[in-house]
Amino acid sequence: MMKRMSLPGAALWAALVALGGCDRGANATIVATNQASVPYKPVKLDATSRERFGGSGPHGMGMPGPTQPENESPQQGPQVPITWDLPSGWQVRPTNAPPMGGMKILGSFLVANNPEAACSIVIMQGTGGGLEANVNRWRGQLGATPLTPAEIDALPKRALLGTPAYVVEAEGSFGGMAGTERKPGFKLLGAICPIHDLTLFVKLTGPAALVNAEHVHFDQLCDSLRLTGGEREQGDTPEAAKGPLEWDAPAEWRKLPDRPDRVVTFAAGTATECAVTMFGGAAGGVTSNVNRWRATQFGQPPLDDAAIAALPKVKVFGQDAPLVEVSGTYKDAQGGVHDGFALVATMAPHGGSTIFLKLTGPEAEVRIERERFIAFVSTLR
Amino acid sequence: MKKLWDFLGSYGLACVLLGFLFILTFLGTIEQKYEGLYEVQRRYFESVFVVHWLFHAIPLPLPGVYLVLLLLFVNLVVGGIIRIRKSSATLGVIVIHIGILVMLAAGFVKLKFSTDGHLSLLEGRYSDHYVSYYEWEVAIWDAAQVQSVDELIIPEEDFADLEGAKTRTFTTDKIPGLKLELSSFVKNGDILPKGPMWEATGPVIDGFGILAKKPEPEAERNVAALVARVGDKAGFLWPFATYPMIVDAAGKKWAIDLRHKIFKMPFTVTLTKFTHEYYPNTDTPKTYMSDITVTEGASTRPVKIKMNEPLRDGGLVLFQASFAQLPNGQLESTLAVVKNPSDQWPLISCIIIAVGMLMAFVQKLLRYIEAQKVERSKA
Repeated sequence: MMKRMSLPGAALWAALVALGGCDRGANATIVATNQASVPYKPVKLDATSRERFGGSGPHGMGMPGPTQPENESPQQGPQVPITWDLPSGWQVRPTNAPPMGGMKILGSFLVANNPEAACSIVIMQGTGGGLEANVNRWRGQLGATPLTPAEIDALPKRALLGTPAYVVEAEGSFGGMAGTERKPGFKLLGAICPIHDLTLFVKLTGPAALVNAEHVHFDQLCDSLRLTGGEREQGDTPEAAKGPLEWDAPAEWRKLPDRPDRVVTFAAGTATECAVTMFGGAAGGVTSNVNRWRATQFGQPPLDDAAIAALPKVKVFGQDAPLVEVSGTYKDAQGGVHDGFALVATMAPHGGSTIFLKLTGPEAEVRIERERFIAFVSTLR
Repeated sequence: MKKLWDFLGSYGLACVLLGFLFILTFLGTIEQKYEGLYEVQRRYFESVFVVHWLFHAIPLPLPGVYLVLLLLFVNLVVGGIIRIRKSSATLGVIVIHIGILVMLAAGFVKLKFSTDGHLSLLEGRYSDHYVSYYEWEVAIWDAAQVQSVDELIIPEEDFADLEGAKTRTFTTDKIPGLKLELSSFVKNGDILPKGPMWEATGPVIDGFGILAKKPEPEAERNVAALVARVGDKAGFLWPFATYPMIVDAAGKKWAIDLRHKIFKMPFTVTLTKFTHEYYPNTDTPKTYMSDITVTEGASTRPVKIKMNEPLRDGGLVLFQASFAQLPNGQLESTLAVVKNPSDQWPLISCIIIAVGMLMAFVQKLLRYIEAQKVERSKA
């Protein structure tokens, strides 16, 4: 026989049911309001589904899609200065994570309408943990054995933003980044490229056959990466790609081993280095780069446009280029701090790219090497 | 009734509840590896009941931490405040119980009334709102408005249960004749051209469909999707649609969009400068700092927000959370924003508990000294 529930028990049970929530009906009234200074999104009254959601659309596979992820609210504006051309048959996927610890997802793509395949473009502050760690992290996602530094050095290279990048390929069962269920028969194709104080990652994963078939589109995506704000038009090849640069280096300098992120590096004196790098487009422009050298690397106050225009000039590729000189405590790209350092640097447009020339070292040495540096930059051709 | 009263104030109940707290904290911590922090908090810590799957095979029904703490609150009030013997000897213990109750109340107020989100700004940019990490809302506004836009908001709790074919129709007297039907809600999905490789969740509209995906363990990565219908016109609502859906009602065009919930701030924040430092020879950040300007009405003041040195203003706390440097050298600072009415209650609770313990221990010490004195006088 069923025992009747006591009154306190029934009250307790009712309270617990109430705590558990209740079902909502088929109709509801909108009561909440908000006032925004501007519309949340731009309005297009006759926007088609393809215009609203991007991608190539069901009736026009192969049409170009957006070249930049629409992942920012209009109040904060689009903030990604790298753009690209979306390969045929790929669609933009949303990226929903705020920047974390210096990492930002610039783009994420659905590949060949296959939800199992994905491609992403990620930028990280600094070395992102280092080349070796990242190559082997990617290989680890496929269950592949780690490579030694020598094996990593021997990896094939390709250009990203005009800078050599390491190409990684691995096959196996894919476990992703979150330890999710492993999927056999997958392949990873990626490129890692240090650029200035940043590291750029482009990665394609998916079923091996599909990744092999999409290799050409991956290459197209990598080739199309460019900095926005530059004057270079789509399809214009950077001058660097048309032929190597030439120069006459001072006899006192010695050339250091090639680095993927540099055109060339020289050692001068005991601890002074002259680095030559090149980037597609305007690479952020003169003001931001001069002030990156001054403020970020030396902690000096930034200069305004008028002060930058008044800087002394040197000749690079036959044109006047600003000569930036700053001294004090220098913070290098790896976070190392060097007291009593100095920098002499300049930058100049070259074809569709921008070349950066930078002499850094102990102040006394840099003072000695300054005239050689100025002579060196004028020999570039 | 007396039995229930005795039961609610008993030591036994307190021990059982603390035991459950230990078990739930342990299981929740383990489960976090698989489900992510947000989902585990929701399932284990903010629920009345939870079913834990032992070894992913055996269901184990348990009370949720929300219910356990609620019962513990009742247990402490009944046993530690009402039924406890009131004397100078128990005063310290009563004060300790009050401190614990304040701590539990702080958790309840945070759960029910706090909001949190983030505010990401480039140098020189400003914002008067922050954006939720997890919560969604549907916004409706007059498509002709270009400034001072009046929005109608449907909060997530009004459509989060509309999975599959279940529908709900929303009306408002501000837009006579508008009947907005929502359905096919997914927590995480893409809107894609419908292809042969996958099955769409809900209808295929204009060749596009919702590809539902497994919710991400990091819940802030989820991207929700919905189907909206007004009269004959149906479309998808998706946070990353380039344009909002447009519908006709009351002789006007209305824009409808799904977005992360937006919270207004009583002031505007402008990021003046962002600086960061690393530990030498590492990529490990040593410190980040945002120089911001807070504008409230006609007043403007500069503020520095550093790691562990947040801005507290207008009931909000703005923490330095993260940053990104873009390839052109621009720095983007991300501030975590928390509105928690009980923000300082845990501190108050700790002070009360410390005072209670001091009272209890000092009383104990004084009694001991007194007893020793008596012993010595006897000797």
